[in-house]
Amino acid sequence: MNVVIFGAGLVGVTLARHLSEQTHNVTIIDSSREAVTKIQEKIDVQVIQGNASSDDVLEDADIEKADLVFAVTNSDETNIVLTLITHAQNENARIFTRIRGEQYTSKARLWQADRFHNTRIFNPEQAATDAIVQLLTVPSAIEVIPFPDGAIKLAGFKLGHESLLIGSPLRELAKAGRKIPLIVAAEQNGEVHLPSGETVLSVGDRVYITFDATAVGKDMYKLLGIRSYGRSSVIIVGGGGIGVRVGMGLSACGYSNITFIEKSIDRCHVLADMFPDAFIMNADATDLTFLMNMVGHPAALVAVAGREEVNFLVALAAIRQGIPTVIPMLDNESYLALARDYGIESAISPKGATVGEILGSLRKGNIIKSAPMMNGRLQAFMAKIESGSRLAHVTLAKAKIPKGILIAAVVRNNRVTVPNGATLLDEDDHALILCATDLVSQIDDVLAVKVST
Amino acid sequence: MNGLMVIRVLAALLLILAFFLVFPGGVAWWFRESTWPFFCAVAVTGIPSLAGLYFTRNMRGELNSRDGFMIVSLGWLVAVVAGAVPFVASGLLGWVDAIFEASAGYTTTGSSILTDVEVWPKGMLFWRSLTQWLGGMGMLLLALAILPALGVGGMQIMKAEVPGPSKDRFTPRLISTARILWGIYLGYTLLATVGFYGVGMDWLEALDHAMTALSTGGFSTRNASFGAFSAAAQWVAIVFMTLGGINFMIHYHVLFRRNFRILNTSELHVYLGLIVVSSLVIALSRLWTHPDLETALREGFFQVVSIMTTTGFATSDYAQWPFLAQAILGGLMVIGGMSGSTGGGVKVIRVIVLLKTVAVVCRRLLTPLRIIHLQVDRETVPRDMVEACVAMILLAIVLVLGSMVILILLGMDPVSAFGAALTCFSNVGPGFGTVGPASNFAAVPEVGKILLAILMVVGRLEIYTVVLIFTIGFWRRR
Repeated sequence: MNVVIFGAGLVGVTLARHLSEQTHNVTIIDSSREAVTKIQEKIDVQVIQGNASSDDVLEDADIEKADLVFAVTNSDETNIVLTLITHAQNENARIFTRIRGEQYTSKARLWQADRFHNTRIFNPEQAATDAIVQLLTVPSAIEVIPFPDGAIKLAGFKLGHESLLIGSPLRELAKAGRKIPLIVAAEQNGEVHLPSGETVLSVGDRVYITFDATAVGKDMYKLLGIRSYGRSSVIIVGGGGIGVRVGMGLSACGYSNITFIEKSIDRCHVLADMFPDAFIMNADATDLTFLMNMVGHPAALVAVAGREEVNFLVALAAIRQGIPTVIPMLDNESYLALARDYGIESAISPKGATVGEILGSLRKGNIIKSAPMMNGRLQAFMAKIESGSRLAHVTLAKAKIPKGILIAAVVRNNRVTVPNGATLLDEDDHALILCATDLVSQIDDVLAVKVST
Repeated sequence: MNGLMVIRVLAALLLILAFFLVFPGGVAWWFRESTWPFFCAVAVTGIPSLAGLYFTRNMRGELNSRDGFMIVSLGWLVAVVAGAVPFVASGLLGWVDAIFEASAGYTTTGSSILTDVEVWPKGMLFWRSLTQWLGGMGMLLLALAILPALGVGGMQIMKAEVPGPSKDRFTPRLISTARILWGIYLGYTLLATVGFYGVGMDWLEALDHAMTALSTGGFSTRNASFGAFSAAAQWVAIVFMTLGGINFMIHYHVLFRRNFRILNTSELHVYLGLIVVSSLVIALSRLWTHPDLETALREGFFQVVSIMTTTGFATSDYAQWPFLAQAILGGLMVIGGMSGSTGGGVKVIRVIVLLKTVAVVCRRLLTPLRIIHLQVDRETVPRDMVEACVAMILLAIVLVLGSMVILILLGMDPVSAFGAALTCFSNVGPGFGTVGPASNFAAVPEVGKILLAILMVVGRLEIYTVVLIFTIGFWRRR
């Protein structure tokens, strides 16, 4: 595929790297000479320095032959104009446009217009907000991947000392009458694998289970050996745009006790207008003694301040304080890598959340939703089985699924089941597919509808 | 200050008053009473008015907020004096009593110095009711509505004359806002007249009481006030007094815009809630001695609505009621009606803001770093408005207590002095003790009457308008 990326910011560069690793022809355009030179040294893509809307640059980038275009400059307005120009020159290109401003994203009718029919808008900050809110809807989870229906969720948990799942192989436990949840993936000693009946889990393992969100109960937490802190209270550090959105999302889903910690007094007044029932504290969250005195026993702390260092530091302090769910927003890859070593299980990366989703949605087949999980080591897909694909009308044993790809769950009539070799997939079933990130291209073979033979 | 413009507006106001003086004259003529007092009053108000309009005919200009305060304060002073002329001219009252009666009229207080109203000519009684009707919605606003040719910045006048801390115009043009307010007011008055007529009053009494119920004034043509009329008439009065105590912006939105969301306002909820709860509590407290349920309920509702909307009609002597009931009525007297209504008092919204201020201060003490905004109906109340509300209530307390002390020095007993000061400031009518619902203000010393008349106007214009004029800053250049 020919890919053109406008804007060499964080998202642009990450997209460029992933796509060029998947052997696509990537051209990246940015007006800053400095940014452009840096990329050229790091990744194998064509770079053009110049004004993206000028005819020369567009001609150089071969916009007419592009299959895929990303408009990810820093300005919403520029992105919209670039989308329109691209559409005028090449009607068939798929266009992904980053729009941050709510004044644009909320105009559903604008984006339904003809000239945008190949365009998908995305917003990393909104994606990060959604991820944070989703994570907090399942108490004590370390990662939550929602699927469009909302009823079915895939969530990761860290097994506690009192878990009923540890010590013996899962098959034995099942024989002994334990109700075993649908464990679709597990991470043990840093290795990701798909558990079988022989798997023996131990304390500290991270397990990913699929369940019906309406039926989350005490039993599940007892099995996992962790406490559910419920939706008692949450602290949000940083009252910027993301903090506000998280606050809105959380109050919409039942968190009644929200505390904001924000450094700027002006911003505090804005927050006080928007959240009359919330606690708005005008303080510096890096003042750790204050934080310690303040926090009490909240169920969760979300760190979404403007600076990642602050988020990191606050998250560390919160973990030491024993807050069960701590979610810092981090985009810097070195910080993300460090986070786990320090016990931060649920860092949210706006860039990671969107880039993963975009890359997933580029796959063939009828993919309803895709999301990276386990720090991007696995990719989860929710796909609708279509007649003519390799999966339809055959049992899984005969479906020739490549190694490394797992059909983790099948959703039929809104009921989740774990498939086995004898499961027969039909059209219109939804399948939850997990796949190692380096094998995602093989998903195409599995899901694509074969035209001939 | 734009002195000539102020005179021009005042002259226009006098013209309107002269016009309205013709109606009681007509009533007097119809009943073959003496029309001389009204001829005299029309002449006294009309001639200076026409002269003033003639000499300022070429004046055009902007009014600033000082002019607005000046016009409203002087306007009310002029209206009270002009309103007293018929009483004096008829020989029924001396100047002091006449001034007291006129200001009890325009300010919709309804306190009276008359011991026997039933012997008064019908034309005179009609004029008393009419002054209340004019003062209820504000005669300067009326001047604005019917004389747009004045060509003045009416916002200043509306700000000073319409009660309540926030004044929204709900149409782009202020004149149409004024017309709508007066239109709704007139419509309700006609409706109330038909209602009273329907339950057995004669047409003139129906109109008199409709005007004083809607304006939450409280003048009656009977010595026993509403106690002289049937139970049905009392229920009709309860409905229209309650309507008069509701913000007229709410009436407008519900009647003309079919916007029922505006009913979801905490001021309205508190207003209606206070009426219902207080009425039930009073009715219950009286059931011990008063076994008839309907009467207890009706008297409870009537008295609570009458006091809370600051109307001041009476059906029975609440001075004989249990202390609890009297205490509740005293509290309601302070609170009064809603902002933007015809009611007096410090207004429900200010009490809400005051209580919320207390809550906010307490929460700040608990968590000093917390930022809290005072919100009413999910809207943040700006700090300056909070300060204005709190300061107004404070000033009200000072004024009432100060007046009480003066009245005590003049020889009144403390309970009556407090009752008189509070009831006049809140524009209610009856007070406690010797100025309770069963008696009247005739026995108050002359100086006290003048003081109370001033207090009524100060209360009606919500203190600031009048008090400002007596500050040095008002007269200093910018």
